[in-house]
Formats: sequence, C-alpha cells, structure tokens
Amino acid sequence: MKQVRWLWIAVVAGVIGLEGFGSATQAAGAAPQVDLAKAVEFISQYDFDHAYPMFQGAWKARPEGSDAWQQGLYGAAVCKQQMMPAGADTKAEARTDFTTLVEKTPRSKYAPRAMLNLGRMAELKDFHDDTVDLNTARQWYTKVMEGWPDDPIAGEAALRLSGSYILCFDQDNVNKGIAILEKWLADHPKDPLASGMWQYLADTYFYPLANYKKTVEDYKKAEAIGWMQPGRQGGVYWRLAILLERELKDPDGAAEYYTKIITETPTSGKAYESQLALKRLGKPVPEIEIFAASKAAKPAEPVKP
Amino acid sequence: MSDSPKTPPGSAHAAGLSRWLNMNSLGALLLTAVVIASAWQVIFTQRAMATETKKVIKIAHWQLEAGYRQAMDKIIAKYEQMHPDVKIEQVAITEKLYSQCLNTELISGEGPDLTEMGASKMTSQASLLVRYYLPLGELVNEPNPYNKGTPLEKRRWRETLIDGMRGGFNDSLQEYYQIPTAFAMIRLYYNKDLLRQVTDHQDGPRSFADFLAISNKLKQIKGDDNRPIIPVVGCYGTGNMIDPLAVAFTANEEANVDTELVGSVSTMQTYEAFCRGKINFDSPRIKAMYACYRQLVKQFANDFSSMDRQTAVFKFVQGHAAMLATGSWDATSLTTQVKFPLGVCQLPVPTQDDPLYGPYIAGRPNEAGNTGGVPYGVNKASHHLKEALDFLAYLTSLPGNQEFNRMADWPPVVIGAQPSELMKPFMPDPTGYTSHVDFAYGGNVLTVYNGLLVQYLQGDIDYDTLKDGTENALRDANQGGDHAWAREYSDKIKEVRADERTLAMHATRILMDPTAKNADDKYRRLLIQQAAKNDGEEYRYRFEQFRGKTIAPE
Repeated sequence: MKQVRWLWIAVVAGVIGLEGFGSATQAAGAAPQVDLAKAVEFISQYDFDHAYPMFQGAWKARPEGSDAWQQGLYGAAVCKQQMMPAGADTKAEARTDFTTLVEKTPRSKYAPRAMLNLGRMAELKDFHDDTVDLNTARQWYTKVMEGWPDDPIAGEAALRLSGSYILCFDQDNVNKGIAILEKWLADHPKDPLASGMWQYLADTYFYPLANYKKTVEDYKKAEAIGWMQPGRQGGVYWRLAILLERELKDPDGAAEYYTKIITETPTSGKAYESQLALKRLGKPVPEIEIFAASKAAKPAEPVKP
Repeated sequence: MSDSPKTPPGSAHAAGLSRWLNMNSLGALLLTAVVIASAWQVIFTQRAMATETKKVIKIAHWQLEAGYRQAMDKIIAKYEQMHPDVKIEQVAITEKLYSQCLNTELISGEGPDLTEMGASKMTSQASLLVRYYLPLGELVNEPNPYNKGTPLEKRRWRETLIDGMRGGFNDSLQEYYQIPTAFAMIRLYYNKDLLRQVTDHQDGPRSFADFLAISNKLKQIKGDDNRPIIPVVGCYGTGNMIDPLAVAFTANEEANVDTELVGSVSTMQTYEAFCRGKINFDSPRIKAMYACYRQLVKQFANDFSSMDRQTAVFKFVQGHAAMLATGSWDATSLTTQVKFPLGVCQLPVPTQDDPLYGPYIAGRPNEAGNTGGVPYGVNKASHHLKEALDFLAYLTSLPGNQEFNRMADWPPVVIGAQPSELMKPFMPDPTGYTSHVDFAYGGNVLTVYNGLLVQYLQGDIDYDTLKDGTENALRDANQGGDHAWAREYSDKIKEVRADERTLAMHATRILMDPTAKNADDKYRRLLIQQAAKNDGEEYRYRFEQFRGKTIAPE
C-alpha cells in the first residue's frame, strides 16, 4: 500500500511538473508577439499608457535593428508622443526614440512615419510652454518626400509641407504653400489624397486670397475626383453657388450647384433657400423629395442674395 | 475440537452481513455513489442546456415616456416571431441613473448588447467609444437587408435615413458608432376646446399675429379655477418659442455676416460683424426682434422663468393653460392625460405680411438639418453581435422603423416611413431658413446676456439697458468677445492636437495590425479634415484683420 501511495504521488507530481514546464515554455516563446499584438490593441483604444511598457520591453529585449526592435521602438515613441498629459520630458523621449529608429534603420518601414512624426512634433504645440518650430517641421516633411517619393506617405508629407506655409496666412507664405501643393498635384494627379488636396487649395484660394475664380476651379477638380466625405459636401456646394452667382456672375453655374444642394444634399439645411435662388434665377426648381412626409412648400418670396 | 482464530469481517471466511461490512466494501460503495451522482449531474445539465438554445440580447434605454416601452415590446415580439432562436429583453432605466448603470455594466464587461447612446461619457468620449462600442461603418455602407422589396432596397443603409445617418457619425473618429431610430421635434400643443371659444378655426395659431390675437382673447376667459386662462406654457421655459423668432428675423443677415459662406452664422461671426459695425442692437431689425420676444413672453404665465416641466404639463392638462410648447416625446402621455381634444401645430413665427414685423421677416426656420435621435450603439462585448446588429437593422428598416414609430407615436427616421396620425405634424419640415445672429459670444457674455434678457422679457428693464449691458459685456477687455475669441483659438489648437492622437492611432494600426479594416480611408479623411484647420491659425489671422491687434490662445 505504501508503494502504491508513493507511486500515485509521483505520478501526480510528474503531471503537474509537465504542465508547468509546458506553459512556461509556451509563454516564453510567444511573449514578444503576444505582447505587441496586445500593445497595438491598447493603442486602438487610445491607451498609450498601457501600450508603452509592452513596446518598451519588446525593443529592449531584441537585437538592434531586428523587426521586433523596430516595431517596439516605433510603438514606444508613438506612445510617448501621444501620452496625456503631454510634457517636455515625454516629448523629448519620443523625439529621441524616433530619431534613434531613423538613424539606426533608415530604410525601416517605420522610418518615414517616424520622420513625419518628428515634423509633427516640431509643428504642433503639445503643452503650455512648448515652442513651434516650423523650419524643423518643414525639413522633416521634405526628407520624407525625397526619401520615399513613390510612397503615398510622400503625398501626406507634401500636404503637411504646404500646410506649414499656408497656416502663416501672410500672402508670401500662403503662395509658397499653394505652389508646393499645386506642383505635387501636377506631378501626382492620382495621389490618394488628391481630392482633399484640391479642396484644401480651393479653401485657401477662398480665404485668405479671395481668388474666387481659382476657388471654383479647384473645388470642381475635387468634385471630379470624388469628395473625400461623400454626402457632406453641402457646405461646399453652397459656397460655390453663392460665389458663382454673386462674384463671378455665372447664373448657370450657380443654378447647377443650387440644384445639387436640393438633389444631392437635401439635409444640408439650404435646400429651401436653393429653391428660392433657382426661382430667382428663372431656372427649374426641383422638389425636396426626401421630406415627402412633410408638406414640401413651393418657394414663396425670392431671397435677396 | 480446535480453536480457530477469530475471522475478520469482510474476509472470505467471514459469514453473513459481516462479510460485507468492511472498509473495502465501504470504499467501493462510496465510489459507486459518486459515479452515479456525477452521471446524474451531467445528464441534468445537458437537459437544461438543451432547453436554453435561445440567444438572449438586451436593449437598454431611458425612454420612459408613455408608449415607448410598449411599442418596443411589440416590435421585439414581431422580431422574435421571425427569429425564434432569439430572445430580446428590454431594459428601461430612468435617465438619472442611466449613466451610472451603463458605466458599471460596460466596465464589468457585462453591459447590454444594444444601448441608447447619450447621457454617458462612455457613449461619447472618443477613447471610451472605441473601447466599448462596435464601429458600424462597414455595415452601414451596405444595403439594409430588411429593406428588401422596398424602394430603399438598393440604397446603402446610411442613405436610407432622412438625415443620412449624420446623427450616428462621429467626426473625430470618422466612423459610425450609433444608428438613430426616431426624430425628436418641438411643437405647440393646444386645447381645441379653449381655442374654439376664441377663434373660428381648428388649426391652432396660423401665424404670430394669429397667436397674439388668440392669446389676448384667451386672457379674458376664466378657467375652472376662476383665474384667467394662461395662453401658453413651456416645458423648457420660453426658449423653444424664442429660438424660431431669431431665425425669422435675422436669417436675412446671413449675407451680411456669413463672410465664410458656410450657410450659417456662428456667434464668432456675429462678434466679428459687430466689431466691424455691420450689426448691433441699434439695427431696426434687431430692435423689432426683441420687441417681438417681449410680446411673446407676455403670453406666458407671470412665473414663466421658474416654471418647471411638470408644472407646465399640469397646467395644460388641467385646462388652465391653452397651449403647451414641448416635444414629440410627450405626445402619447398628453393624449392619455387630457380630457379635451388635442391639437398640434408649428410654433408661431411672424410672416412677411405681419402688420408689425413683416418688413423684417425672412421666414420660419427649417428642420432639414435636424439629425435623427434616440440612437442605439452595439456593445463590443456582446455575446451575440450578429443578432444585436440584425435587430438594429430591423428597427431602422423602412417596415420596422415605420411600424415601431407608429406604435410608439414618435416621428420615424427612415425615408418614406409614414408617421402615425398623431406624429404627422411633427415630421421635419424642410421649408425655411437656417441662420440667425447671436450676440451671446463667450461664457461670460452669455451669463450677462441671459440675466439681462430675463429681466427685459419680464419688463423689469428696457431695451436700452439690455442693449448697453450686452454691448458692454462684448466690449469688456478681459471677459468680452476678445477673450471668447482667444478661448476658441485655444480650443481649435487643442482640437487639432486631439485629431493628431486619432491619426497616430490609425497610423499605428495600419503599420502593425493586418486586420485593421478601412484604417487607410479613415486616416485620409481625418488627415484632410485636420489639415483644413491650419493648426487653428485662421482664428488668429481673422482676429488680426478685424481687430487690428494680435491675439494669443487662452
């Protein structure tokens, strides 16, 4: 009986030992990949605080330059950049990490985004005493454009570079910014951001430049490609209609956009006034069909433009 | 004869019962008993599981108004008939406790499958929204299967709602997280019996002039409490009736004030126009507007500024007030409470042929831009996501939304859905204008203005006092319009920075998460949206242009 008892104890101990060993082995082997997947999940929930130690742990434990090292370093830098509240120290750490990544692995898949982020950190104010350094931002954006000319990220960098001038709002800088983006679009008409870029140019020609002819031209280029946010272009249509009617004295052009407001964006809030405008211009007036459950009133009095 | 040794019990040599009464037998008996008990437990559990094959989903909301829960029960029953494997439980929680309950449930991972969105930061704050709620963009870009056989069959789900599902779209996340199920509109309810005594039509006040005429006559009648009838009361004060007047009087100022040509007028634009001398309280139009406000408020009870919702409803239901300004959500409870025929009409605004105000009038406000309400979102932790989404699709399909809202007596939100007879007057009206000027720019100016406005409306101060007080508040060097502008400049900078976090989140997912769907599209849309804000610097530049001095963010 004693032998049987000890045999049972030995068997049970052996099973427990094997389970523990197996789990430990599995955990050790899977840890970095599982942690990074979890870290990305934290980031998708804006939880940069929880994601940071996972990324930090991953790149510290891996050989410099390896894929996991790059991923971990990039992730740690993003977390530092986006942690709240932002401060000089977190920003400096993020800057150091992005710079290390770029210097050690200049052709890493993370490198262009890291450079762009360095530019963003220079451009944006993150805390009360933070300083804005547009020249440094522009240098980083330019490096991305030159380093990855055929990658979509280059278009984003061009937009950022252009914006860094336009946001100054003085005529010279605005014109510089416009020239950058117009050249980019001339060379890359199929850029994934092209529609948005044309719309941004149109906005800029409208204000501060008050060049309404170019405003209308560039909005139409965006429209030809397709709006970035289909269904939400009602405000742009209204601006186009008013400019064409009041400033450019093009009643047919204006009528086209008043009609589009009614037929394409009836919930923009300007459908009724567009009906009045079409009546004023002597053009056909479509019904506002989407509100069939309400009485669709015929336009009564003309509105003075 | 030999002495044989004593035979131990259980041994082969023991006889009778003793043979079985020993530890070995006891052990075997115990083992057998345990095996039988385990087998019984397994069989019992399997039988129990076999009867609970239904998928149970919970839908939570705070709409305790009469009719809503009953309608929800009925639409649930209809859905369950179509899907016998699904059971839906309605969880109605008072609005006061909704946020607390929802927060606790979501954090514990046990929240309802479908929740009414709002009343809780879990349903609005970006970082919490992405954590707890399912993004719906991919789904709503496809047709709603429950629209098959209807004119909406081929349309994307989001394009089948009157507001284009704008009520469900989160701008900062560039994603849909909720789907509206009904409209919520404000109208004027009226006591047909009382109005019949003073007017020859049944429609309710047809215009502001008609409203004034009716009100003056009503004041001559005494109610059963022997007091003059109060012409009108409001569930939410006088604001609901004053706001449409602001549009009626000042929509025509849009051409003067909306220099950005966005089709609406903000307080910021009003302030700029005020500083440029384009509009102020000396304008005949503005004077007329405030005179009209005062005339309107004279038709309310004397204690209008302190009257709460319950009191307003009580006075109307009891027949002490002839008209009540409140929302579509009160329609069912009012019809069950009142003992008189109930009418509903639009809030009265002056028309262009008004004897007093006609020359200043553009028209009434339109409701084309109203977004759908009572939206529901899907809890990411739901154990039955497919079923939860399917019920939501049914609830927002043409047949489902029409039927539900006809039963609940709420305005439907789907294109082509016919409202109940009671809800017909509540359907959004696209006729009219959108813009109005608003001088109350900034928190401090708003406080001063609101205080003066109440006094003005009550007749305690004159128009010049209202004018001077408000204009002085606007011009205040430390707390006035310039300060408000600096705050908006600062807020815009923060908004750009908040966009940057969302962009960083999407960019990281694009780089590291092969399952990240549509992250590229969302990234690009938000990128363009952010770029157009120019880091908030347009606010600085605009201010410098019309004030001739620099500004720093607050």
